[in-house]
Amino acid sequence: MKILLIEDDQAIVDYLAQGLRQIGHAVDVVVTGRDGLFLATAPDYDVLVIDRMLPELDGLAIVQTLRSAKVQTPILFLTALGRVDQRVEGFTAGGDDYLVKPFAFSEFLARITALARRPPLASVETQLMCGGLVLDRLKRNVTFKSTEVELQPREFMLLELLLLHKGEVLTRTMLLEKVWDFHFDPQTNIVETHISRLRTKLGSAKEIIQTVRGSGYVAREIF
Amino acid sequence: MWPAKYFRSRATRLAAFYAIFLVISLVLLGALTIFLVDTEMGMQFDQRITSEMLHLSNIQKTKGTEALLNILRSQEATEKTLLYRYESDAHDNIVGNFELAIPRLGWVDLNSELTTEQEQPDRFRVFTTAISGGRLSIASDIDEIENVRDILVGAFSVAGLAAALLALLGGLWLSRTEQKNINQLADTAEAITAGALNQRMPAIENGDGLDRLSVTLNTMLDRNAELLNAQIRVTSDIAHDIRTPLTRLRQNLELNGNLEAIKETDRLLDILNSLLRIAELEEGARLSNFERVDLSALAKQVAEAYGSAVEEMGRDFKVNATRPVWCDGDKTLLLQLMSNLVENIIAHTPTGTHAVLTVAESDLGFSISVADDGLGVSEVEIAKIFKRFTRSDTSRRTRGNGLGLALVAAIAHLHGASVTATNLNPGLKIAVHWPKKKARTKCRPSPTSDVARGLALTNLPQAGNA
Repeated sequence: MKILLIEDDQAIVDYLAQGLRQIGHAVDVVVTGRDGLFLATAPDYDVLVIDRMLPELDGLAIVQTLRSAKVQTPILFLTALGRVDQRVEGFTAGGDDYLVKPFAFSEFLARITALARRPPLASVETQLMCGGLVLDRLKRNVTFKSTEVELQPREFMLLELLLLHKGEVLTRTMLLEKVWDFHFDPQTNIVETHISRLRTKLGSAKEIIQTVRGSGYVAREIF
Repeated sequence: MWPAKYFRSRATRLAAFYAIFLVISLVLLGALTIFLVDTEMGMQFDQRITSEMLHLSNIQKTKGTEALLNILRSQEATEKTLLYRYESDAHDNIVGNFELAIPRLGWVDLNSELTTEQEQPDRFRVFTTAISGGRLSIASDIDEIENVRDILVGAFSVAGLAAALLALLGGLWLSRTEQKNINQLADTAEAITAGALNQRMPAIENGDGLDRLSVTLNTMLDRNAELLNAQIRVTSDIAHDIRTPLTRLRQNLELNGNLEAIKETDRLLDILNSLLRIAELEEGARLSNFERVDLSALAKQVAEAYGSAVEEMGRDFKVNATRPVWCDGDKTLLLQLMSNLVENIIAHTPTGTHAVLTVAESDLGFSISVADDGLGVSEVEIAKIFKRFTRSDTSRRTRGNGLGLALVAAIAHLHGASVTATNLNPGLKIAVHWPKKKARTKCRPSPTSDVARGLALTNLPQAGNA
C-alpha cells in the first residue's frame, strides 16, 4: 500500500515511515503543508496521513482543498489537537479518521489499514463469513455450522465489526468508539469483558477472534 | 394592573415620591395664592366702599341730606356693583336698593340677609357709618371673591391631578425602560456564565448610569476574554508541546519493548488528557455539540457496557431508568459522566457492594445518580470530593487518577446541572441534578414516549452465564 505522510515532526515521521516500510508499505514523506497538498493530489496513494499543525499550510485547509477538488483518498488526521470539537472540525473538513498524539504504532497501523480497505459504499456485503461462521446483517443473526448463536445487540455489533475488517487488527480504542460510542478511555476493561463473553457464546468458533497482544483483536479464518 | 416588580423598581419609587412631592407643592401654592387673592380682593372691595362712603359723606356735608338722597336714588339705577341705603335715625326716611334689618355701624358680612330688587347675590359686605340725621350703608357684592376662589381651586386641582398622573406615567415608562435594560444586561450575563463567552452587553443609549455600566462590563469581559484566550493558547501549546515528546518517548519505549514504561507513559497521558478535558469543559467551549439525548437510553448503554465487567469484579450493579428523560446535551460527555460514576464504584467500593444507577424525573427537575452501600467517605472528604486530585485515604492505594469526579462535576456544570455527594450510612450517593425550567437545558418527556423502552430495575445478565 502507498502512504503519504504529511508531518513536520522529524522524529515521528522517521519512526512511522520506518515502521511502515518494515512491513512492506511504500511511504512518501513531506514536512510542509504546501508540498503536502501538491503531492496529495496524485491519485496513486491509498491513504493520506496529515498533521493538523503544519508550516505554510494548515492540515485542515489541505483536507478541505483536497475534498473540494474531488480527491477521495482516505485521510487520517494525526494531531495533538484532541478536543472533541477539534475532532468534529477534522471530520467536517473531510477527514475519515482522527488519531491523537501520542499513540501506539499498532493503533496507527490498525487505523490506516482499516481506512485503506474501506469497502466502496456501493457493494455492502449483507452476509459476512469467516471459518464456518455466518453473520447475516439483514436478519441480524449469526449461525455457526447451521446452528444459531444467540448474541446480544452489542455483541453482534462487535462481531460484525471484526468480520467486516477480517484480517485487520482492530484496537481497543477503535472498538470503544465504534461499538460503544465511547470517545474517551475508560479505566475498566470493557472491551476485554465483552470479547470474552462473545467468545464463550461462539463456542467452538471462538478461535476466529484472536487477541493481538498489546494492540487489539482480529478476526481470522481458522484452518 | 402594574406588575409588582414595577413597585420594587427604583425608578417607580422615585416617580411616586416625585408625584407626591409635586401634589403637595401644588396644594401649598394653591392655598397661598387663594389666600393672597382673597385678601387682596377683599382689601380692594373695602377700599371702594370706604372711598365711596367718604365721597358721599362729603356731599352730605357740603350740599345737605337731600342732595345725598338724590344721588342715592340716581345711583340705584346705574351702579351695579355697589348697593346703597340711607336710613334716618327716626327710621321714617329710608332710601336705597336693599333692605337691612339692623344697620349696625362698621363692617358686617352678610349672607343673603338683605334683599334687593335686583337678582340676589349671595354674599355682601356692608359698611355702615353714622352721618348727621341717619345712617348710611354701602354694600358690595363680594361673591366675586368666591368665584375667583372657585376658579383657582379648580385650576389647581386639575393641574395637581395632571401633574401627578404625568409623573406616575413617566415613572412607569422610565421603570419599564430601566427594567428592560437591566433584563438585557442580566440575560447577557447569564448567557456568558453559561458559556457563551463571546456575547457582550447591549449598547444602552439613554445617557444614565446603565450605559456606563454596560460599557464598563464589556471592557471587563473583553479583558477576561483576552486572559481566557491566552489561557486557551497556553493549554493548547502545552498539549502540543507535551504530547509530541510523549509520542517520541512512547515510540522509543515501543521499539525497546518496555511494556511497564509504556503503561506509565499512558497513565501520564491519561492524566494530561483528563486535565485538558476538564479545562476545556470549564471554558464552556463545547455547547455547540449539544443535541437532544435520552438520559435513560444513555444510562442503559453505559450499564450494558459496564454490567458484566462490574459484576466480574464482584459488585452487584443495576440500572433504574424506566422512562425516557430528554435533555439537551453532549452525548459523548454525558456517556463519560455516567461511565465515571460507574468506574468510581469499581475503584472505591469493596467487593460485594450493591450499586444502582438511576435516571429520574420529578417536579423539581431530573437527575442521574449512583448510590452504593459501600464504605462511604468521611464528612471531611465529602466536601472536596469533586475537586481535582482528591482521593480518599482508603482509595489512595487503588487505581484511578483522582480526576474522575472532577470531570463529572465539570461535565455537569457545562450542562447547567449541579453535583452533590451524600453519605448514605452505609454507602455514598453521587447525584447530578438538573433543576426544572432552566433557561438553557430544557428537558421534558418525549412526545413519542415509548413505554416499551423503559425497563424497571433491569437486572443485567450475570457474567459468563450464557
